[in-house]
Amino acid sequence: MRCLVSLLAMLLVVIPAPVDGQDAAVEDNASRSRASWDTETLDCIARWPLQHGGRVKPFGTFAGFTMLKINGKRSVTIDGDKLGPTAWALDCMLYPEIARTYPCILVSNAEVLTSVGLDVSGRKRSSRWSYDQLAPVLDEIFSSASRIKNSKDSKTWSVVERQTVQLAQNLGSLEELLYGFDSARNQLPLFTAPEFQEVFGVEPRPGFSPLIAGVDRLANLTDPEKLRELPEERQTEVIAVLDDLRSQLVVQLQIARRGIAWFAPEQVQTGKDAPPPIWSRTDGILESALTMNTQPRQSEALQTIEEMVALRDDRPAFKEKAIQVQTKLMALASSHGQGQYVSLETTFYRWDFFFKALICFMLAFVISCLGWMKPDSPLSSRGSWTFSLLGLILLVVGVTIRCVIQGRPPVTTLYETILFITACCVLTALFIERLDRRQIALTMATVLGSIGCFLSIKYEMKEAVTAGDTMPSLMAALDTNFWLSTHVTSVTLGYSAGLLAAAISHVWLLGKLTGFRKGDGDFYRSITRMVYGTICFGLFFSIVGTILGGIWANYSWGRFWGWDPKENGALMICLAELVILHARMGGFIRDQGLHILVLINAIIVAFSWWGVNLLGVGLHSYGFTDGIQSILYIFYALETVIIVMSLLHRYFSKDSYTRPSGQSPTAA
Amino acid sequence: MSKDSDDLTRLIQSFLKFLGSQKVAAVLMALLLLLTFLGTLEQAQHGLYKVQKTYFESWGLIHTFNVFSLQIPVPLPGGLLCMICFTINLLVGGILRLRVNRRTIGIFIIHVGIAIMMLAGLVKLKASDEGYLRLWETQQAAEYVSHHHWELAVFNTNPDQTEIHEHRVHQSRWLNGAPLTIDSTAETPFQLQVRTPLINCSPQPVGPRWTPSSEEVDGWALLESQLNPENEQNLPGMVVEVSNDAGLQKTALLWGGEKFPWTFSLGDEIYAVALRKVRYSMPYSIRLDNFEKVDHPGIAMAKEFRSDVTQVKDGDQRKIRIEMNDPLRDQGLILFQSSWGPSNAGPEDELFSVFSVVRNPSDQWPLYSCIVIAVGMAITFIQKFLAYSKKQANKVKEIAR
Repeated sequence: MRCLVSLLAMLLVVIPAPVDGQDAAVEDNASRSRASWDTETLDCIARWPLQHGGRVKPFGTFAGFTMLKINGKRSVTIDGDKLGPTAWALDCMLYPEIARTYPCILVSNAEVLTSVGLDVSGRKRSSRWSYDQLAPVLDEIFSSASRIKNSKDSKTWSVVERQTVQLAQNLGSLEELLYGFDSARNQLPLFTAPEFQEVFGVEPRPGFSPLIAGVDRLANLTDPEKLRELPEERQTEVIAVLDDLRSQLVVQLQIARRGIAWFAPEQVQTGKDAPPPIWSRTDGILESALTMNTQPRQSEALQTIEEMVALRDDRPAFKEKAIQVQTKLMALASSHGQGQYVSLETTFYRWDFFFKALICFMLAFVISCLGWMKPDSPLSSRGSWTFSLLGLILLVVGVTIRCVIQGRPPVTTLYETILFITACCVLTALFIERLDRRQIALTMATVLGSIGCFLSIKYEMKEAVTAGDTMPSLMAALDTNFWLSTHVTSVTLGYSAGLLAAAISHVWLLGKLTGFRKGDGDFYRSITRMVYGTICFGLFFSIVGTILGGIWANYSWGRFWGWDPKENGALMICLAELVILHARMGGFIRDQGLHILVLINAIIVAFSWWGVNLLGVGLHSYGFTDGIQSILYIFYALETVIIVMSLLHRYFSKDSYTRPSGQSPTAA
Repeated sequence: MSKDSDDLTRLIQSFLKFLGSQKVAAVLMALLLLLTFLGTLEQAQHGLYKVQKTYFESWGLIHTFNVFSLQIPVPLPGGLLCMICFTINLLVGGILRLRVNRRTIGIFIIHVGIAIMMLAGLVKLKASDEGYLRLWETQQAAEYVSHHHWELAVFNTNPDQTEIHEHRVHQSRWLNGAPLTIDSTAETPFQLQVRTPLINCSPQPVGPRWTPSSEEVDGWALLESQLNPENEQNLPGMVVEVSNDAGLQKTALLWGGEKFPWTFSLGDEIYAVALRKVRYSMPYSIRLDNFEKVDHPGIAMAKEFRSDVTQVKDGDQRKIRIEMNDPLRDQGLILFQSSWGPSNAGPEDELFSVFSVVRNPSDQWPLYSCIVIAVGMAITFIQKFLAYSKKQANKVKEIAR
């Protein structure tokens, strides 16, 4: 027993050797092709629960975001076979020798590779590489990234340096998958001496399970008293085998430590102050067993996984084992009340609600445009309504499912605000259309729906890079559903109204500029009424939301107002909208002035929503905003150009802007 | 006489009308908007504290606009001035001069709500103080420390005294740069002179490579540093001289980074002079019994952190839990769980808990104002919406006919 303890002590303190190429020998003779995965197997494995990023999620989600981060999209085509995230991740874990040849590593700037000495001639600036293709420069990429991180503040990194660090992180994530089942494939030296054969059999399975199952008898074998009872030559051989075992375990434990936390703990802690359960990786189960604290249910699940890995080329048997693994992992998770939304989350990502909503909104937009060309046709209106409603339903259902999975309101990250604001814009626009029925608000609903869904899909990629998830864990101060559901939703409703009003104002300003429906005063008055009403709606939520934010801050940090950039942004929206209403009521501005101010208000909304996060100061500097700056500047510039053009147009063509007296939208 | 009186009344009325007009409101709000925008941008360079003082709590300022390579200084009214004018405009135009009827009742309520909020802000600005309280487990304290403000404290360290009487001088009296003389008192029988105070500095030895511009004491002088945008990081310093008629004359450098006060003997007594953050007394003391920080599993992000404390008041003890979003409110003081440390602590290391402590008489007023404003806005906008819907419905009917 003491020998086992000393063995363990050595295991836990010895610094392991580098792991590169450890399993190369195992894979040398492996086949370079594999049979296709069937949908049922993939579906089952996608539902395996795991703990990552502070929460329990399905393997499908983990694989999806890992693939998105490394590959830039959620699919890769190999010899005409399109692989989704689960199939790709399975190939990486079960057939690393094949997956290493998949061109799935997106390098968006070839300069990153030339800087580490790789020949990129004949390649596009942005292209996908396989792990094997990058293998000659892997060491240089990792050391270069390490040099950059240690020598410079991340704010001063150049584009190439940032991309180098990113590439190194992506390669690290890919390696974690490639080595994910390495311990399950690895044959430990448990049969090389007769004494070991007595304990573990003549042909023990690869993996940790045989060792865990025989750990008690191994303890006997390592007992110094028992060792001394052996003939001297046997003693030497047994000690040599033990030493070999120790060396291999050190390496395998090191690899397993970078693996996935599949196993919920067996002990259930209850009580209000009980800490959240921390799930184990493979190394945790082995370490528990080696310290004579075997976790039977976890060990059983691990054994099933290792049996499944051994059956990788026998698809029916593999599927059966995969189902058993799913059952065992879920049983462990459910003992803590976790994993109940794993299936829902898998379905959520499979349905791809927001991409489908984008398609619907785009179709609605096209039909709506046709309607403007042929106004008498009722079909276009109905078609546009139908697809807009369908898009909205998909959006709302998607957002609702996210709320259910996370157990919190739908506005905790910048990504979620895009979805929520898009849904609110579309809903409000459709409501206005129901009252106004001129197809102006309907068309705006389709435009905003399309832009919002498109942006959410693009931004999901950025969330994948930074957080590896769009449902990240929340910091302590934000973890309060009451304030999230009151303050944040109110403020984002205010954003929605400000942006929607600006979208409708564009119709007025551009219509006047282009002479669209010249002389149709009713058309333009109707637009002004809509905008005015939307601004009133937005002001209500902006003011209430901003004050609620102050009250939240007062409850959390003891100050109502701290002049934090995000708070200032919300205040600026309130002030801008109050200026619009007071200037309108005080006779400072008429229709054109109102619409121009509404555009300025949209610039302020964009600044408050995204711009202040770029300043890098304050409590609210959350979210990954790299690359957002240029989009934001383009938006500011476009709005400014429209404002200036409109003012110039008024200067040169005053007649277009005169309206009969006594027509005020406030009267509406 | 009557005509003159009428003229005066008319003049006052037209002045009030102007003062409470929507045009003035729009201009003031536009100015506040501009100040908020500029102040927000400036925070990235100058930090929150300085920007707050310059842009939001000032009467006026000069902002430098950078247009390409040109630097154009533009004088602007300060946030405090704008907010005072805005409040007057609100009171005159939105409350006093507003004819309250069914149509305007909502607007009236909104303005009352905003007035309550502005008043809450004024009370907070003038009558509140705030700081922090840092406790290790089992440690007890009855005073909290200001985040930003410094004071000079002079006291007799004689251990025979049961209670130490401190003579405290707030930074507002000595940080303006002018020399200050603090007269003797019964507890401190000597004069104290403060010279060359600096807002941010560090003590350096005087040598051949550095000749100080400030006064040298025992081979040391204070080297002025650039102001740190994070005001909490600025460490002030000064030269102090104590003297009395009996011929006492001692000089010392005081620096905010020193952990211990400067002491000197006078007769049998030992006196201390400390440059430290302002300390506020609490009407009770707080003992930290247990602090717990729970991370999200597998990542280094706090899920929650909470302190179990004992409130000790007049011999009574009360066990309380303070956690994020759940502060302790008692006797006008509010204690919030705000932070913990040390930031580089390992998993098994002992942690201290940091509470934000605020004394604010208008603590709950923003909540009341929010409710009032929300009610007013709901009434106004529902009225407008109903009128709009009615009009639209009529139009749709007309088109259908």
